[in-house]
Amino acid sequence: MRPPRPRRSPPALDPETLGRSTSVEVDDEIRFHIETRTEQLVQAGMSRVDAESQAWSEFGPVSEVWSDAVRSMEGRRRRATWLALLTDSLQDLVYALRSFRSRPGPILVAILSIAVGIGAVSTIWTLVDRLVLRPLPFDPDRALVYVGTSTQQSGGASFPTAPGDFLDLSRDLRTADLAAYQEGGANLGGEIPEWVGFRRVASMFFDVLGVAPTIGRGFGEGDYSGEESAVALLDYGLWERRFARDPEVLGTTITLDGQPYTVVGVLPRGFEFGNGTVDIWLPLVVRDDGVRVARTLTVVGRLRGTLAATRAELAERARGLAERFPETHADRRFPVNEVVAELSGGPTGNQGMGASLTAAILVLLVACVNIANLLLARGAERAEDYALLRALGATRSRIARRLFAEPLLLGAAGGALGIGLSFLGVRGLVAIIPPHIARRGELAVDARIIAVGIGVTLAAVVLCGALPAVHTVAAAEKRRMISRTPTATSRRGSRLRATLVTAQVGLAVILVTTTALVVRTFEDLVTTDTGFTTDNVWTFQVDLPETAYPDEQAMRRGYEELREALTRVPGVSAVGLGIGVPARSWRTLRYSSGGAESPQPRVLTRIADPEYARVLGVAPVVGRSFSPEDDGDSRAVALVNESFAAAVWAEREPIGEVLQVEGRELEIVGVVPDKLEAGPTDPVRHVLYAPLAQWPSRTVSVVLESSAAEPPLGGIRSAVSGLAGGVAVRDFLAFEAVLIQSADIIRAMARVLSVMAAGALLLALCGIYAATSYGVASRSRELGLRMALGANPVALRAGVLGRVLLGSLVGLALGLPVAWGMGQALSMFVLGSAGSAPGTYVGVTLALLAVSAFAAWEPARRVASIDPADAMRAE
Amino acid sequence: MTRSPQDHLSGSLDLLILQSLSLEERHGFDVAQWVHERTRGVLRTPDGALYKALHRLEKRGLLEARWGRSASGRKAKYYRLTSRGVAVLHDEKEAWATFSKAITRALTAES
Repeated sequence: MRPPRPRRSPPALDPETLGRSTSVEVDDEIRFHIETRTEQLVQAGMSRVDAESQAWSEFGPVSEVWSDAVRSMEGRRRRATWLALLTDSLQDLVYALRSFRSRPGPILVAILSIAVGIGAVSTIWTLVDRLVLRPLPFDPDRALVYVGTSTQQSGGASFPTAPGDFLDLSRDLRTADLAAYQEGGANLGGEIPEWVGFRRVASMFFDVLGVAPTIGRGFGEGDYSGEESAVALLDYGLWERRFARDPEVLGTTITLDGQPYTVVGVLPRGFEFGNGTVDIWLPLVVRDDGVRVARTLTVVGRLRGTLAATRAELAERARGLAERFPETHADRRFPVNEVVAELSGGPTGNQGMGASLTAAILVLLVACVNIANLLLARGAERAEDYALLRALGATRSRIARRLFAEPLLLGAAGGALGIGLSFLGVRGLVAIIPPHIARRGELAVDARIIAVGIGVTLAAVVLCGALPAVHTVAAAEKRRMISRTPTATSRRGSRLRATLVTAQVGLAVILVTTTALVVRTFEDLVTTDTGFTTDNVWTFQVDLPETAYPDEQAMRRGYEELREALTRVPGVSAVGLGIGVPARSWRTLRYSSGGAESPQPRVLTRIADPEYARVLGVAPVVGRSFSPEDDGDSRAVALVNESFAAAVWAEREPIGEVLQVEGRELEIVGVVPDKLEAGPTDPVRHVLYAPLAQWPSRTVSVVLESSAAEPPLGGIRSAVSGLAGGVAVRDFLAFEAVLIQSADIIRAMARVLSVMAAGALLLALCGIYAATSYGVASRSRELGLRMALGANPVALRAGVLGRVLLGSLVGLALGLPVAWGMGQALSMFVLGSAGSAPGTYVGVTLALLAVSAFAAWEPARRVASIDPADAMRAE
Repeated sequence: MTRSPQDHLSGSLDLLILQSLSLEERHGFDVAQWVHERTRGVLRTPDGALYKALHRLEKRGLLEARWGRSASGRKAKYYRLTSRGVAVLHDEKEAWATFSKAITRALTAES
């Protein structure tokens, strides 16, 4: 019979085929061929089964026909189907929702996994975003730079710039606008004086940064003509804290170290620049001192063009200066560096942030593995459904889309929850990280972070949805085209799931090991004995105002007044004065022991009075300590620590020797034991001790012994405020806290990483549990059969457990080297040598094996309860 | 070197398909039957290859296809020559005749 006349219309518009995919057509065509041929062979006397297999074998490989055809024709259909796509997508979402309802348990685990992963990444990203990516709320299009001064001697390190140099550098610079500032601190007068940090800024400073006061005026021409005018801008924080945001503050007078300044404006909330607290801004008139030896200015600039252009122009100016001042400027360079790189808590902070971000990403990956695992299991359960869908004419891409609807929904729910979690996480982060890094609590989740969260969620969903989707489609395809026997695909599925478990353990081991190393290192630091007495010792700083204590004589008088006032505070039993406290600050002085070394070496110097040494437990092993008689009029004396003595005088007895320090002759009167003067993270240094009375300073640190249970801050404050000129107490801390503070960043890192590692472990636990229980469920037929044949349930259970442990071992084998590498990196950048503690690796290995066994235990136990008869029927 | 009949066929499968469709519209199975019968079963090629060729020719615009009902009432895809297909078949047949005549003459020449 002749078929009807064909219509001459392009296939894309054929109503019969509109919206149907090429692959379906090819399938239909092939099916027609196979059926017709089978029919033909059956009529020739063959059995139907043989006939069908003969037809297939004559046909040869199906996939080739398919892929060729799909490639060539799919494109033409696409335009006609976008509308169908939209309605289909809606349908897919509804379908996914409905299927969630049917089995909420694993879905909840998956959603929580995503939430934890996204929460971790968003939280840490908030920190990275705030501190690294946009630390400064200024014009983002023109980079801010620091311009330093370096010399051959500084070895490329950048130091402040001489005022004269700044004037020459900034004059008519084409490629950048430069400004400069100088830091300082003073006692802000009031009922209870308060120590405030200030910055004196050169003209143009706020213009270069692009910041204007929120109320009042900025500094104008008038403030920079001739002498600095006594005007001040307030930081928003100070205005809030001290003046309750009263706009009437404009025009009032504040005193700094007794000097009056008129408040002319308040800077906007959140404005800050550089490290350290700045409460007050003052004008600075930059004057060339002629010799240009004192380098006092920090120079910042805003680029007009590229960094390279500015570098070139400043190099040009450096050559000019070298010609004008061959004596001093021959090797002076002015390195230009972007501000961003210098604001994040130094290398340790950067390292900590890097480690935290890596940890968060690892947590996310572990979460992704969980989701992939879940989707894979669901896909396998539904391969039958999808095969049916295919038979009903759904295309492969259609099924893949349906498969993606689930992860998308999971992602939407988990991502939203995760972003919610990050709000909590950021709060926790603010509590954990040291305040000088948190930059005054400005960390907050904002639109950018949410955008990043959504982006990462999408990426994660695609990442962990793609593999199962491809796998499931392939499985469904096989069933449809060939037979219903599920063995081949399910074996591949179980291999894939085993791989995922391995990956999960590998990721977890990296994270847990690194965390363990950091925690250990922190503990080492905290328990390190620095050698100082810390019990009941408190420290703080005071600054004697120049107005009331103009010269050394006055300063010594001030020390007496301070001692007397503090001794009267109830509970205080000893008061020592010095410059700086161990682990926090010290002086570095040039010395010479008679030789003609050039340049002269430097030594860490602690200036202290007799009580200071006594309170901190610095007692001589040879010779004597300082006494009140070592004052400004007597012979200059010093103590040295043992390693310094050994380095300078070797075997000789140093008592009575003379050391040239900064042009003065010091007689060594005693040797004290080595202590960790620079803090628990630093090795023993050479240390020189000199008496405060002979090296007076307006800024002094007080170390004080108090038997009172509570920190005696109130009494100290009022005692100190009685000194002339209004003196404030600042940096009041337990001495112990000062020592540990140097380990602050590491502690913060240890805490962040602990949270991450706990999260990763929990997720891995859930993942291994789910994968194992699915594995047992899908093998129930095989296991049931083996039990029916007399296999020992205990042995079967051991087999299941053994598989999981084997997977975990492979994961460990892969993860441990990476973890070791990270440990090495850590010990290189931060921490000394804890990176290679073998005990940690052994401990983590055992712990993770225990976790895997624990997770697999319950599902493995279920093996024994499989009823062979049920299992066989279920298939 | 000996070549099996299949090698010759795969080169000229396109030509045979075009020829099979030169008189009437056929579905793929029919084309396969026609090829097998006319070549007297000597040139058996996997049916899959035949479909690949059909799709390729369709893509090149030598064939066009539509869905119809087969004699047994099943849905089947029918192919027919386009005018371009007719022209190509004409040219190819001529080229083949010239070619095979030349080869035959050469192989049967006495000296």
